[in-house]
Amino acid sequence: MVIRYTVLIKALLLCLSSAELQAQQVPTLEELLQQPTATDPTLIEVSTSARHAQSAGKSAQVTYIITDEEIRRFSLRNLIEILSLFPGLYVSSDTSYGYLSARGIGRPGDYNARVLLLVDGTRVNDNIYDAGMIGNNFYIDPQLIDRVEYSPGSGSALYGNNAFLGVVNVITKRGNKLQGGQLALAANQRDQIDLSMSYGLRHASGHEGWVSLSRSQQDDIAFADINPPEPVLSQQTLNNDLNHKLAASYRYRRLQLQMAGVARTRQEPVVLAEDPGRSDIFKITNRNYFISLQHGLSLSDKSELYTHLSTNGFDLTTFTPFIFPTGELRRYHFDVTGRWTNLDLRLSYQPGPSHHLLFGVDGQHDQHQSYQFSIDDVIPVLGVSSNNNRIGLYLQHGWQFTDNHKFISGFRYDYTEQNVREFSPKLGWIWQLTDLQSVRLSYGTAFRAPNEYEQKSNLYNELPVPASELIDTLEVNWQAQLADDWSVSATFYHSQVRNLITGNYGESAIVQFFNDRAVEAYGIETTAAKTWQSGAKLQLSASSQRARYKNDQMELTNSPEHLFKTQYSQPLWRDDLHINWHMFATSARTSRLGQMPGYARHDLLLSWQYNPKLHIVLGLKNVFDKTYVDAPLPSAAALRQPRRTAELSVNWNFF
Amino acid sequence: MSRLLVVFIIAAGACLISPVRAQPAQATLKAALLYRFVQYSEWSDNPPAQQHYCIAQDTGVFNSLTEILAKQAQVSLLTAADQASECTVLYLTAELASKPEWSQLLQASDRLTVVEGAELFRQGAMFGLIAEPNRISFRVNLTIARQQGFHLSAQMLKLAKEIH
Repeated sequence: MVIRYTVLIKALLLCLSSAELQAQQVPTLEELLQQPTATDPTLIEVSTSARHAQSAGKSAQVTYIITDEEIRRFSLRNLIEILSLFPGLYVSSDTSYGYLSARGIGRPGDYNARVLLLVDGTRVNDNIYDAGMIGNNFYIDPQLIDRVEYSPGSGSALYGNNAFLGVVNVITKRGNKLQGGQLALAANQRDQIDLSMSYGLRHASGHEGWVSLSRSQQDDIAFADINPPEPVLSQQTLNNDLNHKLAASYRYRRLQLQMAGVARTRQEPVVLAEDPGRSDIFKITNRNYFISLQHGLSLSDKSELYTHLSTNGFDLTTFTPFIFPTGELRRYHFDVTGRWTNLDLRLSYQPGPSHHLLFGVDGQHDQHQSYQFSIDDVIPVLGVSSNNNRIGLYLQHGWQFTDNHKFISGFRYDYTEQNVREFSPKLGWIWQLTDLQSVRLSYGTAFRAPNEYEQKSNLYNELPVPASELIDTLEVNWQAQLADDWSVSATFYHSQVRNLITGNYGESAIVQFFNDRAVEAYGIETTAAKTWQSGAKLQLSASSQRARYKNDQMELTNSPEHLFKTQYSQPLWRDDLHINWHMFATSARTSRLGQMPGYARHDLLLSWQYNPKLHIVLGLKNVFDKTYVDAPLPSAAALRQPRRTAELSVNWNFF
Repeated sequence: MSRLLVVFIIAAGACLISPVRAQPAQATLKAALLYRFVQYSEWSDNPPAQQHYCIAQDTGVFNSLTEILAKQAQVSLLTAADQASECTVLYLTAELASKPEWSQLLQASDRLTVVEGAELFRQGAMFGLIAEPNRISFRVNLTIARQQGFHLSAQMLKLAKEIH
């Protein structure tokens, strides 16, 4: 009897241990979520191109993605560096701001007004210049970013104003990636130190939130001018940039409350116009914030209502030193203030699996738009204040009419109190050729209304307000998964641009704006990517783009014709140690004053995941110390771009 | 000189690379996630005596799950929606989002449902796999899970990308 029981217990133990053994072979849920795997690009979920989450293959337009892993491995420290990885985008800097050009169009002095910039869907282009800040003064620190999506092309049929050349959506991390305390420290040999601390919590009931505080300081910034004037050379130590940021997010199920604010002080020694032998400090102070509340409500199993309310503020003051006629040193104060509130209502209705309707209303109330120009904030020179109301209505219909064909149609109508009336249609067709290949055809239009600065400048000059810029784009995309896990895509596009708003920065101190000649832009963007079983990953993109005035075929300034980008990561000896190489090559760019030669720059970084809580990256950016210049400013002055920099960044999840 | 140095470093690195852990195939990863979702979920009412996993039209996930579970549970590969009546766990691929006969299966109670993609998740699934460029993450509809009598572990919910 005893023997029988012993056998029974042994058999039971054997069964248990066998089951345990089987279970042990399956990694834990946490490990599974960490495991890299090659994903079919058409199944990757995106939310920017269609304003709701869907598989990339179901969208008529391409969406490119940079993930948090790439941000960490390539030590991307601001949105300038992140955006420069996207196909077709070219980014330059004057050490104060980042300037973006897309698909061959980037106007000197444009603060990225032709690209709509979103943070978790909240519009953050300001209501004065329509500026999208992408430098160190961008709201969200890189370590809080889950992914950045870029959807190139004309996007006004869904987004209205500013979605002229594309839409960039910065999506922040959620409670699964931000739990406990996090410390991020990054420093480089160019005296830039970024320090960020955040704390995140998630409760099993679904409540989650994080808060982040950060400080970024760069001292002794090398002058961008190739030949800085003699009086400022000795003052490089006073050339500095200081940013403080606060960001927080709370979510419960489909409710999100988010806020972010940034305060910046930028100081730069400049030569005084009245006495080129003297110099003093030119200073910019800038405070931006937004608060947003989003909610998704399921009305039935077929319909959902999204509500998104946000309020934003933008304050900019520049202090420009000059010599008063009496001989004393004084400062021009230029104060710009913007306050605006957006309300976005979206109704998503899916009557059956083959149809999807999206109906939305976007309202923007510009409660404050003002400029004050004075001497030392005492002697007023100029003061302008106004407000505005804008509304946009849109409808989009997605129809999967066979297993392999989907048709997308939509339009948007925009109306503002400042005489903007724009109708933006969109058509798209997706043809799934095989399981591994698809073709997408889309036609869309977009507009950019003259911003407050352009309007008021012309009114001051007693000139008519320029008409809205218009663009219509036809594009064809082919995407395929080839043998050996290569995924490739090619997009051909052709755009017609009318009324391009251009500044005349000539004799008058107040810029005059006019609608320039029609422009034709066309090009091709190609990408290829492969992930090896070993964990190595290669991403390539090549773009050829041409933008020319239609009447004389003159090339638009400030944008390269060819771009080639490579990112490669390779594990070294072990899974947690990677060598990462980023190559960026561009052809020559032209400016009003001449041509700037093409260049190739390389970044080489070593990233080490010491343990799940500690990640260290050490590397060199611009390894070969390539000297290259760009001319993103209206003056067309050739400005030196970043030189070789050794960088160290540490991300530590400390509890 | 500096170029030579970098080329040397890259070459040396490439030579010293030793085999690292191979990445799992997508199907293996999805099957393992499915296995873990079930492990972290409790049927509060009428727990099944034995789980019956049903995989709709995805042979890769079916084979991987069969291998993981050995003989611990029944695993079926469904070719038609009307074969799902006995399933306690149902997995639908993204391609089935436009087929109403499959999406209707998400409405059944007492069945743990896992789908690929946002389109099917919106139609009433409990778990949704999210395809990311180099990873798979997941979202949970806690409201539906509770309505259908499931208790989901806090440990799993902490790892979900989204909780609805």
